[in-house]
Amino acid sequence: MAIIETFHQFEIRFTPILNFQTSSRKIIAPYLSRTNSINIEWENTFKQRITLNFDNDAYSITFLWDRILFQTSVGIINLKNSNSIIEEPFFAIFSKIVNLEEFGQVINCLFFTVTANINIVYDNNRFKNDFLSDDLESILPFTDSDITLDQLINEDIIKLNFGPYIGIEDLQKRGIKYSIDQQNELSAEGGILADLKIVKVLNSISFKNYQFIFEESNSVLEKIWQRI
Amino acid sequence: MATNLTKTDLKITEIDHKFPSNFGNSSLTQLSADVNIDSNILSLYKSRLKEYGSEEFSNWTSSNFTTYANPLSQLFLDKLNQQIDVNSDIGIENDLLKYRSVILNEKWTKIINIQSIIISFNTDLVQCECLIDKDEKLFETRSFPSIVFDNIPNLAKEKPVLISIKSKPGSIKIDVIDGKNFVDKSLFETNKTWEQLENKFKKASIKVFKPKNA
Repeated sequence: MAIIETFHQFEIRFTPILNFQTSSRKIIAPYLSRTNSINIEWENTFKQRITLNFDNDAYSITFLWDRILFQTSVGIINLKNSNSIIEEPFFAIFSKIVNLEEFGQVINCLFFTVTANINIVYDNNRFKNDFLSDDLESILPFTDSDITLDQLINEDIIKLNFGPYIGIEDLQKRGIKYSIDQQNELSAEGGILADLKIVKVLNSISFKNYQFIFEESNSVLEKIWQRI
Repeated sequence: MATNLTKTDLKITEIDHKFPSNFGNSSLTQLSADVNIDSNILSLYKSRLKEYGSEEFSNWTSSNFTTYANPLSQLFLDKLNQQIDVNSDIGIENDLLKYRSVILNEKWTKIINIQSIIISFNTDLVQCECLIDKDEKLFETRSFPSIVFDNIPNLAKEKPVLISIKSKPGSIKIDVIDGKNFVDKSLFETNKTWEQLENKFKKASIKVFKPKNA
């Protein structure tokens, strides 16, 4: 059995900064010495998107006028630790954006993770037995299934989708990114694929918030793994 | 309960590089035209790939790129889309080296980036005050071999450096980066103030508790 975090994205959304295409350059410029490459799309427009690719460390940071994103396709277990790449450089860059005169306020953040718990003896029938109590085949003799659970507390949302893992096609057909390094492990069939989104509405955000959300996501996923 | 969040807030921002819509049926030349790459640069890439023993690349069509399992094809597609550093011969050589099997295995389990200030150094070791936990204001003094600081110009006391430590079972890598744009020196002022207070308290304690006839 192997638990593989195939993809993780963390976004902080804020009120649009109208002149971000110019004001961001001073913030981003020092980090170019640490990246492998940079993508700039829609240059000098309000839609401008700058992506710093830290290929050697397998992550990227993207800047837009109303959000900053972190993406990685390798294991995320250590991201919650102090001095992780989320704290430095992601939150370090974000704190510089917050200090811009033109910065308004944080709106919300999105924590998204796709995790495959690979287990070659765990097939669709076992999923039915563990998670689907009714005889749903009388409605439709299904060959695949997916369970969606939503939780709304105040204004925060947790959205969980999980179902049987049928192999790497499961990721490819959904357009979910994964690391080439993990391709062999992900090619096995069997187990459960879960994708989890947590949206928190907040006026300010720090690394501590990220750590809290990380623990929350772990706790939700653990409850699935414990049932198989 | 009503929420101000909309479906848009739950949608993750897609960051995919531009890709021609007719990719599946394009030849390599058409592919390059679709992503607006200079034909001279495309020739450069094809000739470089040939030099690295990949004669076949010169005849590649887009169907050869459809499998992402081939790291060289992924490299080529990335470069076509990124169009950054395409004029640099060094760029493609480094990129190709990245995808050799030895480098492919270089996946780090843990990466930490520690803000630090140099407190002392000699020919063998450099001692740094390292910020281990920003929220808890936890500092540690750590020593590193001086060779990893050879890339830092004008090594001096109080110089900020960013220490990146990457580790995995059986292996560790330390990168030292000039911290002038990455280290918040004000965090270390707090630690200095505390150390001064601590020293003053210690001195005061000795005065109070020292016996009269000792």
